[in-house]
Amino acid sequence: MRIAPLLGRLSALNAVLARWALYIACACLAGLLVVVVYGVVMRYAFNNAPAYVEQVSLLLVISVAMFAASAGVRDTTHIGMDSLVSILPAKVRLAAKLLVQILTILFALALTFGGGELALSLRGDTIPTLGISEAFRYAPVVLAGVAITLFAIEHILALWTGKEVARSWH
Amino acid sequence: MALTVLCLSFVVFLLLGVPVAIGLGLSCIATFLVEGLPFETSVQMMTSGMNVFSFLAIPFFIFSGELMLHGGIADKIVAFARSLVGHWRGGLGLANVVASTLFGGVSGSPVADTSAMGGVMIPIMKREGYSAAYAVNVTTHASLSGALMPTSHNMIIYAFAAQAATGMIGDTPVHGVSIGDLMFAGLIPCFWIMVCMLVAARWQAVRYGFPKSPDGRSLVHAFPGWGTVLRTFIASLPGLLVVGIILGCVMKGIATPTEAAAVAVTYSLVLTAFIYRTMTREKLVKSLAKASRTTGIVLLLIGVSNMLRYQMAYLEIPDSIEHALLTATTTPWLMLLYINIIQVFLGVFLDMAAHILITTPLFLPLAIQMGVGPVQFGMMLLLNCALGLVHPPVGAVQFVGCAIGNVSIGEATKSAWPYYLAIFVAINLVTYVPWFSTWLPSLITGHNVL
Repeated sequence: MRIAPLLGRLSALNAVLARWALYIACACLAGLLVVVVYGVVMRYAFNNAPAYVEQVSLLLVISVAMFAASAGVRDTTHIGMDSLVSILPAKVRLAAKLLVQILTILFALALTFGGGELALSLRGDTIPTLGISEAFRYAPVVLAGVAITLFAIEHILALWTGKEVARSWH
Repeated sequence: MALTVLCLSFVVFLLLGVPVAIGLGLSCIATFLVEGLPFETSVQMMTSGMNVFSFLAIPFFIFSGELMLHGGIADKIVAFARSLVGHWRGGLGLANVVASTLFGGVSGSPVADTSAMGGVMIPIMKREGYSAAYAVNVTTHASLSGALMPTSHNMIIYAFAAQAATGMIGDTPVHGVSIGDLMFAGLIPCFWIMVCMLVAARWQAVRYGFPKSPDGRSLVHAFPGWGTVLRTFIASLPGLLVVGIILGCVMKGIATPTEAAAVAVTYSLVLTAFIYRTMTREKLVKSLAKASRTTGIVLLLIGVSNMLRYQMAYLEIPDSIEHALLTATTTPWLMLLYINIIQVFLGVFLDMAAHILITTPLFLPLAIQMGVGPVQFGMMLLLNCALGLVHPPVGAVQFVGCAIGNVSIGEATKSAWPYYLAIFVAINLVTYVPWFSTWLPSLITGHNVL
């Protein structure tokens, strides 16, 4: 039986958020490739390796990871073990699924507040060779935390109303 | 108390179906709070776990594998393998083993290997007189060699997990593991997996008379000639060259493994877009999106496992496990057998990346005490993890193969025992004969690789 998709403002907002999270992750991955290959070419062809390559790459990779990971929460692509839950009675299964989403929110809040705290305390420090604030390193963590919270709330609404979250990317 | 919170909460979260990365992260954060440490330290550890330049190779290898998967390289490799061994009894099965091993080298991922090879080979094998279960089993098991190939991102994950390992083997000190050594170490085990799979595929084909028509007639084809073999080899060579590029760059010191991986992605892009002309804009976007997604899953796991590493060291968990196992036995071969049994058991439940990240800090120190170096242990671990990919309930490779072959997991598993036996032989060779994993990297790098 086909389950109806969850509709409403939160779903519409989350669909856009998840799609953009993946667009940003894709753009960062492409940028990462360009930066690293540029570094190799500059070192071997011109004997002039740019010092900023490593730090830019590290900023980009954390953006790929956090934005793609947040989109993965909405589209349920993260690896989990659901073999035990799938054999439970329907009501217990629903309770377990709701609990999973509540735990996901707790993790996302830890990312948001932990990342925010770190960004605030390190905002005066600068990333070597780039000269920008260390807070930028934690910005993707905070944004991913907010997005994951919204996605998990959407999943709770869907489970509660017997609907499903339509995937944002096919 | 902290240890109970860490272990119990993780097991409960896992059984509840919480994604492994999130469950592991929450368990570690809860343990940080119980220990009275500021919880933002855990977030800092997660971020610093992802912020290691060497591990940028992970997204690049994943991206390169996706490009090769969607770029039509598989067809050319299949044509070459088929022309080489396709005329023997069970020839398409043998061709499948050779092609899956070669494509494993190109993609570095058993799942991508099964998707690409299965999509091409399984329908052909079914059409030409092989059972669906045979076609699926040959494809899924032969593709496991991808986990040990130089293009494997799981190898980089292992290097990350093993970076803190220290100890002495004889007079040789051990400090972490070199990604370059690992890249060369996997080649001979891969060759032996291929040999073991060829034997299993050939034995099963002879036993059941594959290929045969529905009325039982034999359907073995004639040899197409060495001219065809050469022509198909030349056509597939540019795709296969990606392995040579990575190894060549690392061996000659032209680039670090991370940079070599980025060069491999660039090469794959140029090859599929301008030489084979199989890469469309749509396929490129799909490859990029899939690579980003997988990167997100894997790197989040790596980040939270950095929290776990800290907690394990703080709570002295590896020491406790070491003590428990050393109480059971101090005989090296028996200890390695125990480690393998535990790994196979865990592989039944855990995904490969999570398996590597969780178990390496637990068992590598013990293996070093037993005289097994981090490179050899890495090969053992990757093989044990790979076995979990073709075994229910979380056998991702088996799911993909069965979906392509339109055969149930139960039916495929019933006739899979010769392939399990083949992997078992390969695991034992790698475990008890260090030569398989250490000879080639020692020869190439010039230092004693353990």
